[in-house]
This record gives sequence, C-alpha cells and structure tokens, in this order.
Amino acid sequence: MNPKNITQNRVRWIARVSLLGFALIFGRLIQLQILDHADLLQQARTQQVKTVEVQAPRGTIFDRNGRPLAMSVPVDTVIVNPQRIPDRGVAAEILAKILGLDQDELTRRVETAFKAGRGYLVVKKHVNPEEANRLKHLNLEWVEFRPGARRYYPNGSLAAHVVGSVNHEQEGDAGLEQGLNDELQGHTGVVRMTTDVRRRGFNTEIDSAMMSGQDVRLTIDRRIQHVAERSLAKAVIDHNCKTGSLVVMNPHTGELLAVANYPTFDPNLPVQGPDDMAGRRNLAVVAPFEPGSVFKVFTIAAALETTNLTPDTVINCGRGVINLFGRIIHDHDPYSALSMADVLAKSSNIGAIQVGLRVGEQRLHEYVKRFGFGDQTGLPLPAESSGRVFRLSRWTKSSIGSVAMGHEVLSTTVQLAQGAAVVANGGLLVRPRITVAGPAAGAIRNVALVEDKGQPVRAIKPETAITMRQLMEGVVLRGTGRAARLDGYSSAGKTGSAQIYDEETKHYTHKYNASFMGFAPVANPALVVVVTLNGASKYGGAVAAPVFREVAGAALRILDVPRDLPDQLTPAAEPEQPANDVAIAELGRPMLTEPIGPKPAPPAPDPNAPVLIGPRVPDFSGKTMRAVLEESVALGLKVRFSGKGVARAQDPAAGTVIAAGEPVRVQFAR
Amino acid sequence: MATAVRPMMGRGTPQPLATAEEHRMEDSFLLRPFPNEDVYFHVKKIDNTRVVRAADPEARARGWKAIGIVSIAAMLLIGVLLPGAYGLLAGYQVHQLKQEQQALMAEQQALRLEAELLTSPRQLEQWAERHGLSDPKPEKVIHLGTPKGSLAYHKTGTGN
Repeated sequence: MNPKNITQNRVRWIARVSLLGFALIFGRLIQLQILDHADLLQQARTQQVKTVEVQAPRGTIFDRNGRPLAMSVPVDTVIVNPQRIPDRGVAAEILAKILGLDQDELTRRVETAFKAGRGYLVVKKHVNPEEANRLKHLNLEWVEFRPGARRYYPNGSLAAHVVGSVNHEQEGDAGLEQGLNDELQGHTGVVRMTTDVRRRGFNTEIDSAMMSGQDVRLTIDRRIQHVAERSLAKAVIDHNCKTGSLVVMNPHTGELLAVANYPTFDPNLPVQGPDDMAGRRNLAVVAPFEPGSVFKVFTIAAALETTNLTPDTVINCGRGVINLFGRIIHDHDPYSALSMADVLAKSSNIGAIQVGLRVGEQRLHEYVKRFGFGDQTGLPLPAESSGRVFRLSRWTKSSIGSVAMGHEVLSTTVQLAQGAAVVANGGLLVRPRITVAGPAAGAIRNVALVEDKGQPVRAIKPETAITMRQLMEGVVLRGTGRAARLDGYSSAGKTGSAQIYDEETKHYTHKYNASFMGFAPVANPALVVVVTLNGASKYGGAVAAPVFREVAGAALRILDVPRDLPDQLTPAAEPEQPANDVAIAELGRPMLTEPIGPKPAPPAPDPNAPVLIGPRVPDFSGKTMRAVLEESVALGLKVRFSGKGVARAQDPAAGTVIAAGEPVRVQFAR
Repeated sequence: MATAVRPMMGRGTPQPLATAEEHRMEDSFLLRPFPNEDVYFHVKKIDNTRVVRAADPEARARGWKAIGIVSIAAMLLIGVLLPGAYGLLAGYQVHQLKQEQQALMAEQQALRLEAELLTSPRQLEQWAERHGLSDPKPEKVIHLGTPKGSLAYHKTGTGN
C-alpha cells in the first residue's frame, strides 16, 4: 500500500473516532441540558439553594422615657440529626454539659429518635447566647442552630397588665401585646440563599421582604408605675381586699402615667392555666363596678350647670331619712341640712339624692354620658368594658336616687379617671391614651402611632369645673378625704364606698368597693389619681385615700411639679376620721330599715393620759383669713398669719391643747 | 523511535545492513556494528550558507497584531469574568458580614436586657434599701427655677 494511502487511512480513522467521541459528548450534553434539564436543575437547587425564613424582630415596648418594658432578644434553638451523630452517647454528654440538660434523659431521647429513623430532634429551645457560642465553637456538623427570638420583660411584673404577654408562638395573648399584635409583630421574610459545597452562602435573593415589627412608646412612666403598684399592693394586703386597681392620668392630655392592678403576674412566665389567664386581665379597664359616692361629683356638677343650686345652697337632708317613691332611704349620718358643698364633703346620700332630684332624670342621664360613662374609652387594650349606663327608658322611679350616688351605673377605674379629668382640666372630656407618638430615646425604629383620640369635647363649663375643684378640695380639707392631703401640694378628691353585690345570696354585702378619685395640685392639676380597692372592710377615705396620698405625692415629685404649699409647715397629722361615705346600695332592693355599714367604735380613753388645761386649737384648714380671725378671737387664741388665700396648714395641729398665750401659726395659700 | 518506525516503513525502505556486513567481512576482529549504526551515526552535511531568508516586511506587524488581539481578547475575557468573580467574593463577604451583624445585634440586645434587669425600679429600690436611701420628702426637694412644662400656677414659700 502506498504510504500516502496508509496515512490518509489512519487520519480517516482518527477523524471517525473523534467524531464519534464528540457525538457522544454532544448527545450527553443534549441529555443533560435539554432532556433532563428540569430534574437536574431541581436537584442542583436543592443542593445549592437554601430557603431561609427571616423572622421579623418583634417591636419593643418602651415607657414614656424610652426604657424598654418588653423586648425581644435573638436566641437559637439547638437541633441535631441523630442519624449523623457518630457517637450518640458522647454527643448527649457534650450537649447536656453545655446546655445544662439531664444527660440520661437526653441520651434516651437521642436513642429513641435514632431508632425511629428521625433526622431531626430539637435538643433545647431558646438557648442563651453563651450556651450557643460555646456550642458553635465546637463546629459539630450534626448540630444545627435555628434562629428565633424570645420575649423578655426586664421589669418583671411592672406594668404587666398593660404590656401583657406573648404565647409560645410569640403572639400576644394579653395586654398591649395582644391589642397591638399586628403592629408589634411585623412580617416574616423569605430569602433564597445560594451556598457552595461547604454550605457557605454567597448569594441571597429575597422572595418576600421581611418587615420588622414597629416599636410602641407608651405614656406609662415606669417610676410612677412602680410606686403605684407598690402602694396598691400594700393597701390590698393590709386591708384584706380581694383586688385593687389604680390609674394615674394627665388630665390635660389624657396620657395614662400608670395603670396598676393587684394581684399581678410576671409576664416572663408562661400561662399556667385558665385561672392564671384570668389573673392577667387588666381590672382597671375590663372590670366595671358600681362607683358609689365618687359619682356624687358628677351629680353635683350637673346640678351646677342645669339648676340654680350653688355650693352654698342649703340642701335638706331630712335628718338622714328620705322617702323616695315609697322607699325609705337612710343616710350613714343623720344630717338635717347641709350646704351643697358639704353634701359633697361629708358625702351625704340624702343630700345627693335631693340634688339629683333637682337635676332631673333626663339631664342627669345626659351629664353622666357627657362625662364619658357608658362608652369605651378607646384604649387599645383587649376586652375593654364600656361600663353600664341604662337608657332612660329602663330607669325606675328610684333610679335617679341610685345614679345620683353612684349605683345602678357601672364604671371602670379608667372611666372614673376620665371623668375626674373633666373637672381637673377645666371641663373638657379628654379620652385617655396609652401610646404616644414620636421615637423613644432607646428606639432604633419608627414608633407606631396607634391611637387617634380626636379633639377634646367640652363636657361642662370652665367655671363649673373650677367650682367643682373647690368643692372637691373641701372633701380633702374638711370632709371624708382628709387622708388624701399631700405634703407640699394642694389636693382635691372624693371618696367612695360602694357595697358589693353578692351574686349567690342576691344581696349587697358589707364589703365595699372602696375608692378615691382625686387630683393635684388644685389650682392647675398635673395629674388625676383614681384608686379602687375591691372587697375592703373599711371606707374609701380610710383605705383608698392614703394610697392616693402616697402615689400622688411621689408622682408629683417625679414629674417635678413645683409645690403650691409652703415648705415650713407640714400639715398636721389628722386623727383618724370615720369617713363614712357609704352609698346606700340597696336602693332598688328591699328597703333598708337601719343604717348601712358598721360604725367604728370610738377609741377608748387612756386613763393614764395627763389632763391638759388650756384652749384646744380648732381646725382652721380650708377657712378664710377672716373666719380664722373670728374663731381665734372667740376662743382667745393668739394667731400668726402668713400667706394669702385659705388656711392650708397650722401649727400646733387641730385638737392640740395649748398653754394660754401660746401662738398658733396658720399658713394660707390659694 | 527510529527502530519502532522501521517495521512500519515497508519494503521500499533502504537496507543499511549490507554496508555493515561488508565492513565486518573486511576485518573479522572488528566489533559488531550497533543496530542501525548507520542511522544513528550518519551525519549529513548540509550547507545553508547559500540559503537566504526571504525578506518579509509585514511579519513584525502581523506579530504585534496577533499579540494585540490576544491581549485585547484576554482583557475582554477578564473584563467579562472579573465582575462575576468580584461578585462571588463580595457575596461571601456580605454573607459573613450579615452573620456578624446579626451576632452583634443579638449581643447588643442581650446586653441591653442585662442592663435593664439591673436597673429595674424594683432592683434599684432593693439596692437603695441596703444603703439606707429613700425617696426625699417634698419639703426636701428644692426646685431651682420653674422647670419646663411645669403646671403649677403659683409658687409659694421658699425653694419654689
């Protein structure tokens, strides 16, 4: 064969083999790229692309000063794949030691999961960062960390009823956590992360964007809240009450500075059962009660607006008995006649009924509604009660007497604060609010604006409000609310003691909803405080007014409100007053034939006490300079005056027996 | 290689063994020649003195052109691939930084929580009690001027 032919022959064979090889490669390419493309792409994505849920951090709840009341901290959940664990015993030992678990129990769980063929076992949820870091540094390939978050309440039970709590799925189940769950929660995002062979991510595509929960800034001041809770708890325990609630409110803006309830709970702990869940209700908002004598404030305000009655108008109190459409009603003390100012100061039931009758059913109903009773306040708290104010068509003949002294109506503590604020702010109905706009000092995100309360509505005339302030100040100075007098500040208020109705016996008991509703300073109130103690054996003036005194005094100092009473003379300690202001509850029930409420026994005289001879210092508080002068001259007392206005403080205290010629210093202020 | 090629050459190839045989027959004491000795030790003298390289004035230009094209192609290739490579590296970096950021934020939140736990009102109250501290009474508080936002109308006594 010709060498040339041989070469050509060989070249041809090489070309054929090459062609065949390329054809095979090309065929394989077609198979991979076209025929099996979808399956292979899916397999590749399964291996390379990881879909990750990005948990939206739940918004932080701040108090008004930017201190967090509820915050979420990122935590990991530790998961293992039992099928990939090389030595399950050693693994359980390592995990138990680092995570603080019982080794035997964990070994049993891992073995059980392995035998069941499971590739997924949650070892521990919500591990703390220190534990997680120690475990991560071990680089164990069979351990996986699933990111999550845990809700913490750093102040424990502080404002627990307002803030609320979350369930195991981090969704609100009480308080604002529930009421503002949508704002706080945000939206979980989904991203697709492309990873390399070592499962290291290098590319991220967002499927759905994560939206962080919004922060919420409350009107609550945690310092005032703490004082309120401490004082309320002490009062409830000391007086063997069942529950208690307290509200501190700015009367001008409606901002709630403190909302306290007792018993309280720690929101860091999970709900233990239905009883525990019931204990997490915000009583100040969800539990209406018959307010009793505190309601006389609204009756008298209506009278000032709609009748020709004035504070000095004498009201016939019938020596403590009245026949109201065939029902005989007794007062707690047999007053014959009182000025309308004293009807409020001494909390005369008959006097309040007489005033209510002068106002009339329709106008009294209208004014009760004007003060906001019977309607929800609109707070973003779950299960808020609207209280109860019957329609006029449902009123009986004697209902006007009941409503006039705070029965046959139901009100929450927050509604009472709203009503008191009308008097305190000059006659405007300002809806209470619990959230405030604007970023808190510690906030890193925008703060949700969740409340729009609209403009205040005028409920009563400004002059009526000012008159009511003076009348309510009289309650504190010379009436049933003497225990509510503050050091360094003027105060006004009204006590209330409403009998509690027993659903089982269908009768009113001798347990009271003891309450005090007040504000301070009187000239331009900075805050309204309402205290309610449920199940008290004593009257509101004895158990609730001291709580007002403690909380209001501390709150005014915290808010840096300048004092309006002199420093030098501390108001004298008053002897304990009976402060009987029980509103007769059974007005619409079978008639009462005897006065309600136990009469406190007079203190037994001490036979060993020395007998002093000399003039006894009268109580000048609340009196004008002229009245003090007249009284002191009549008694032969030498008085030194200072200041202007009405008597605010005196030294020595009222009731003190002094030597003849010893001066009495009296401090006046407006 | 030459020996391997030889069997493939076929019949037409020359027979160098004849010359070696002749050489052996001349002197029997001579060593036997190496196989293909004439191939390995054959020196063909070539005289290139008369060869003159043909002048090609465009060769240099073609060379530079080829170098340029290859360089541009290389740069284009790099230009096309570089952003992707940078993107890949940046992706790793971004991912790592994100993880670091998350870890730092978690640490920050944990520290903030710890600080809040230590400064909660109840905690502060307990510490204050231990040190004999208590809230001042109103008469012990001296206001230096009317604070902003204060609500009281009038000021009486000293210190207000």
